[in-house]
Amino acid sequence: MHRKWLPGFAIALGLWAPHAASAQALNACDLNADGVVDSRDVQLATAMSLGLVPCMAEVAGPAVCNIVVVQRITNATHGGPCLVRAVHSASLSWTPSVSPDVVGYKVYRGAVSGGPYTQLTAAPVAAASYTDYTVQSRQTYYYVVTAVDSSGNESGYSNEAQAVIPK
Amino acid sequence: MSHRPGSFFVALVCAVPALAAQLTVANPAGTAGASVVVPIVFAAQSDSVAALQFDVAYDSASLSLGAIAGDAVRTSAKTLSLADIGPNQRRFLIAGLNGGPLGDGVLFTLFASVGPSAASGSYSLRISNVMAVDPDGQAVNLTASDGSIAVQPASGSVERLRLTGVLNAASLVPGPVAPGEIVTLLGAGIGLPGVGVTFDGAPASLLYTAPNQINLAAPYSLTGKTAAQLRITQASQPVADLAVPVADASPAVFSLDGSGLGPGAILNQDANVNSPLNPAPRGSIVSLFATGAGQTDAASKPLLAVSVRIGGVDAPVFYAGGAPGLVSGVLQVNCMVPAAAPTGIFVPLTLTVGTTAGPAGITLAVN
Repeated sequence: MHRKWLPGFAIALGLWAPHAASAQALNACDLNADGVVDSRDVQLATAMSLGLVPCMAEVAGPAVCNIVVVQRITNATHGGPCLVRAVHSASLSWTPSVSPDVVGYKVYRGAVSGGPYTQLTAAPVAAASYTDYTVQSRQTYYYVVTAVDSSGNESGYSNEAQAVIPK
Repeated sequence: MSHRPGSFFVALVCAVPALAAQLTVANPAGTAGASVVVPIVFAAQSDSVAALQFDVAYDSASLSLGAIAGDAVRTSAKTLSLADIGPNQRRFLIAGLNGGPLGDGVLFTLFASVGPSAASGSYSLRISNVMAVDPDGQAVNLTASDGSIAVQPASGSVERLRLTGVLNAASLVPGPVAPGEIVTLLGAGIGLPGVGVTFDGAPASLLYTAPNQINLAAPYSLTGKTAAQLRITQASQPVADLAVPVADASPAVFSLDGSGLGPGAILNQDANVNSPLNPAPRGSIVSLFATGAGQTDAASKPLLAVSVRIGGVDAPVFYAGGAPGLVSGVLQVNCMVPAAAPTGIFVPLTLTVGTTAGPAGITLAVN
């Protein structure tokens, strides 16, 4: 893909410190608030994770809906505890481009400083922030962002930000 | 992109534990107007993965994607859910209410119908937002590589339909066609207006058509054959020919959600739908709905013996025959939930007609 440098684009990444608080909060898995955790809650979590209904879960972080939430609620339907613990994540934010024709940003991640990087966002994200919920404990990641204009042209990589994920 | 293949490979090795779970997307080739099959394969390696999700970005102007669950999903009692999360992006989610680990193999097969006006070139199937979770609900690493479809200039006839697109409508599993079976055909542009389908010249009853899909009831004249020539016509002109295997029976129970997996289309004795929230008591009668039972007698009862196992225990069958009010080709089986059957909300149920057992993946809730 052709890249062009878009003046004014800069990035500053910040890391959200993931908390590791654990709780046995059954009600967090009771998504439909009917007093029981059952297959209907799993179905609802699935629908939320697919974006079919708004995400209201508080199981793996505030308003986080994904496969982790589905699995934890599944486990709770079998009588296990409702594991409520934030999945590690890295919250990224950057200074928006001042170019008027920028329509979004692509986020890339690498395991080695300087790249290579793998694209995390299949389509550009419009906001100047992104949370990566796919990080793993005890891993170090390197992030860069590009800006995309209305013609699909992509800028060069931003400066790189490092995220060290704790255990 | 800016990655050099050599450096990308080296970095991948450094970044990822050697035995991390892995998703692999195939890179098949096809022609404009053709159907292309793209298997997506999972390997757990040394990890235990209970569920996973990922997004696929693709060119929806040139490709139409359907997905059929594969053996890894079926044998692990998982289900495949998907939704479009954007005009060019589809999210896939594989999970199971059993919570157990996912086995290795084909997770699902993407049926890509390449548009008739698609230009030659490589159409990427870009994977993103990859997540996996272990049976305890902890995120685990999962690597995935992008796939692509190489669209090449058509030379000769376009392969609109493949054997992998001839599916039992209940299980959505490809396989031989049985007389009277309700069949789903997936193929590029096969279901346009004016369509007709014949097996060795005998017309099939069309039940549903969409641009890339046809549901039909196979003619009973297939009885006794081992193969037949399937022909699709539009305005009486042939547009696809395919030799298909034929079997005396190819049974499968319909699922509640139409995916071919999970809770079956089964009624409890009180005529309510069986579900995890509405289990059938042991000793009660349930009615299941299936297809692929093969030739029937004048009373719409299969000529071959029908048997059912629930949780591995033989279930006495009291009725097996046509389902009143439903199209020909649908089999209704009334059987008793054995007293010795295990209880649970996802008790495996298998239907056998003659010596042919239906595919795994259908469950019954029992209490």
